[in-house]
Amino acid sequence: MPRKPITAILVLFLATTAWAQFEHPDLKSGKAAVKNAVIVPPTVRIMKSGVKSNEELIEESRQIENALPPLIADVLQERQCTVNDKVLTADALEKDAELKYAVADLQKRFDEVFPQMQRKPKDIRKGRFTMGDEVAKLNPGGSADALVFVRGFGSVSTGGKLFLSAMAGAAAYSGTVYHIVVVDARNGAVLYYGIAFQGGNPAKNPAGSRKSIEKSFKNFPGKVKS
Amino acid sequence: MRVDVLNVSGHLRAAICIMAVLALSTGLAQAAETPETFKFSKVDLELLDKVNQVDREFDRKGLVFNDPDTTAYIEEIGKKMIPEAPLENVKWRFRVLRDAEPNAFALPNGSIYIHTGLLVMLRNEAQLAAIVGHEVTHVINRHGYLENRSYRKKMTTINILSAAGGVAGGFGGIAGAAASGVLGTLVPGVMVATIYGYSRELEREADAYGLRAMARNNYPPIQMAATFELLKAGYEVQLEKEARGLYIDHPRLDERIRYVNEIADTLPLAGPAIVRPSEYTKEMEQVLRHDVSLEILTGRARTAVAVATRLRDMNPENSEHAFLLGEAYRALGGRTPVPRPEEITDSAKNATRKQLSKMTLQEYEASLRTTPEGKAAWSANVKTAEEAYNRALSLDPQNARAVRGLAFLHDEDGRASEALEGYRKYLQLSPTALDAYRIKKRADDLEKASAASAVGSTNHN
Repeated sequence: MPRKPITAILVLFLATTAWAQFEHPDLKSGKAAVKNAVIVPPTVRIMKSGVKSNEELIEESRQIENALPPLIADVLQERQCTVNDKVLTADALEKDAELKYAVADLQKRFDEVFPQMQRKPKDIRKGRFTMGDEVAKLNPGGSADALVFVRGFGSVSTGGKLFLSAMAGAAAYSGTVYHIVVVDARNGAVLYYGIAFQGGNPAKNPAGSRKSIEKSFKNFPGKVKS
Repeated sequence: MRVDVLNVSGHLRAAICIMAVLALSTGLAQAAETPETFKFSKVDLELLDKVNQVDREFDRKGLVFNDPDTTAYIEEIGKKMIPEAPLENVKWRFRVLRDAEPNAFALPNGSIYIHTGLLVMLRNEAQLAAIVGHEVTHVINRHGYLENRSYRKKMTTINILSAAGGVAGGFGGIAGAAASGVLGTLVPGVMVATIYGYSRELEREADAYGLRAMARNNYPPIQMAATFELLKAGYEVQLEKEARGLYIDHPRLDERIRYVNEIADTLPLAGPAIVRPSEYTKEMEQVLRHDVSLEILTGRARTAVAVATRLRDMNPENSEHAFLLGEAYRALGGRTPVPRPEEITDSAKNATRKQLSKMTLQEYEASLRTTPEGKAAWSANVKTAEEAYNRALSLDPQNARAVRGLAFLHDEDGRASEALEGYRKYLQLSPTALDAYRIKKRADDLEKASAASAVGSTNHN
C-alpha cells in the first residue's frame, strides 16, 4: 500500500484536530461567565521515544506541569479572567492532607469523564458532560467561576528513532497535545474544551507552549486585551 | 527508486535480522543473571533514578495514604520478610497507595506499594505477609532491572526489524507502522511489568521466596493461597476480558493457588502459627475507612458495601462506621449489593462493557436507575442507607457527615424539604468544611426551586 497518501491523510487529520475548541451553550450565549478561575495542578506526560526504550521523562513532565499554570493564567488574564493562584499551590497541598486527597480524587474523576469528552467532544456543545458538584470542594467560599483542568501528552523522539522510523515509513514525531478543560466551579458542568498541539520538545520551548495555549483558548469568551 | 532499495536490501536485511537475533539472545542471557552476580550498569542506575522520581510523584500527587500507624504496622511485617544484609541501592519503604484496585507492586529501589483496595480484601496478618514476601522478592532478585534490560533489547529489535521491514518492503508497510506506532506509545514496558506483573517464571520465583519467608516467620504459607482465593472471589462483576493486575488475573490465579498449595505443604513452621486476624483488622481500620470513599469514587459500590459492612461488624457502636455504610448503600444506586445472576452472563457483561465505553460513570449509574430492576434496587438501597445514616446520628447527633449523607440521599430520592433541612443542619454543624460552599449552593438551589414551584401553583390556582 502506498505510504505517501496515508501520511498526507494523517497530516490533514492532525491539522484539523490539533486546534479545536468546544463550548458549552451557556458559555457561548453568555449565560455562564468565567471571570475568576482556579487552575487545578496540570498532569503532563512526556515520553521519550527512543530505539532502545520508551520512557516517561518524569522530571521534564514535572517542569512543564509547573510552567503551565502561569502561562494559562496569563492567557486568561488577557481575556479578563483573573486566576486565583493561591488556592492549590504545592505548599497549600503539602500542608493540608484533606485538600491534597480532594484534589487527587477530583483528578481521578476528571480522568474518568475525560475519555468520553475526547470521544465525543461536540457533545460539550450540547452541555452533556459534568463532573458533579463535588468540584465545589476546590472552590472555597465560591469565589471562583471555573476550575481549569489540563492534560498534556507528548512524545520526544530521539534521532535514532526518527531515522529508523523514516526507514520503516512510519511516523515518528516530537510534540505535545494539550487538552484544556474549563469546568463550572459550582456545579461541575464542562464549559469549554480546547485542544492545542505544540511541535518539538515543550520543555525546551516555553514560548511555544504559550502560543499553543493561546490558540486553545481562541473561542473562549472575553475580549483579548491588546 | 524503491525497486533499487529493494535490490540492495537483501544483505542489509540479513544483517539486521542477525543483529536482532543477537540482541534478543543477549537479553535472555542478561535475564539469567542472579542477585549475587548482579552488577549495576549505567542503564540500571538510570532506572533507579527514574523510580526514585516515581516515588516522589506518588507523594506529590496525593496518591500515598499517609497514616503513620498503618505505615508503621506494614513496615513491622515488611522488616520480617526482608534479608538482614543491606542490598546495594535499596532503601526499604512500605507504603499504602490510595487506589481501590486490589494490587501491590514493588519498585526496584525497595519501595513496596500496597493498594488500599488490596489491604481491605485481606483478612489477617499472615495474608499481608504473603503479599509483602512476594513483592520484596522482586526487589531482592532485581526483577525490575532485569526486565528493563530485556525490554530495551526487545525494543531495539522491534525498531530494527520494523526499519528492515520498511527497507525491504515485506515486513513493514501498514502492519509494521501500526505495530511500531502502538508499541511506541505504550508506557514503558518495565513499569507495566512492575505494576501489573512480571513473567510467570519471575512471579513464581517471588511466590516461592515469599512462601519460605512466611514459614521462617511462622506465618502459615497456606495463607498465600487463601489470599488468592479471596481475591478471586471479589465483589464486583468482572468486566475485563483479561483482568489486569497480578492479583486479579483469574486463570493465572488458579494455577498459582495450585502450586502455592503444593509448596506450602512442604514448608513446616518452627513455632506456633501466627495469623492474627483481629489484630490485622484493628490495624487496618483507617485504611478500611479511607478505602470506602475510593471504592465509591471508582464505581465499585459493591466493594464499598462489603468494606463498610465489615467496619460496622467490627464496631456496631461507631457512628462513623454506620455513616460509611449509608454512603456505600447510597452509592449502589440502581445496583443490588450482590450481583444478580443475569448480570454475570457473557451477554450481560458485553452489554455493560458497551454502555461503559460510550458513557461516563455518572451517566451509566443514572441509566441503571431507569430500569425496573434498577428502580427496585434503588428503593431497597434508599431504605438501608437511611437506616444506616439514622443509626450514625443516633450514636452521634453531631456527626455532620451523616447529616450531609442523609440530605444527599433525600435530595437524590426527590424529597426536597427533608434534603433542605439536612443541608441547613450540616452548615450549622460544619460551617468551615471544605465542601461548605457546595452544600450552601445545593440548599440555595432547592430553596429557589421550592419558591418557584410555590409561585407556579399559586398562579395555577
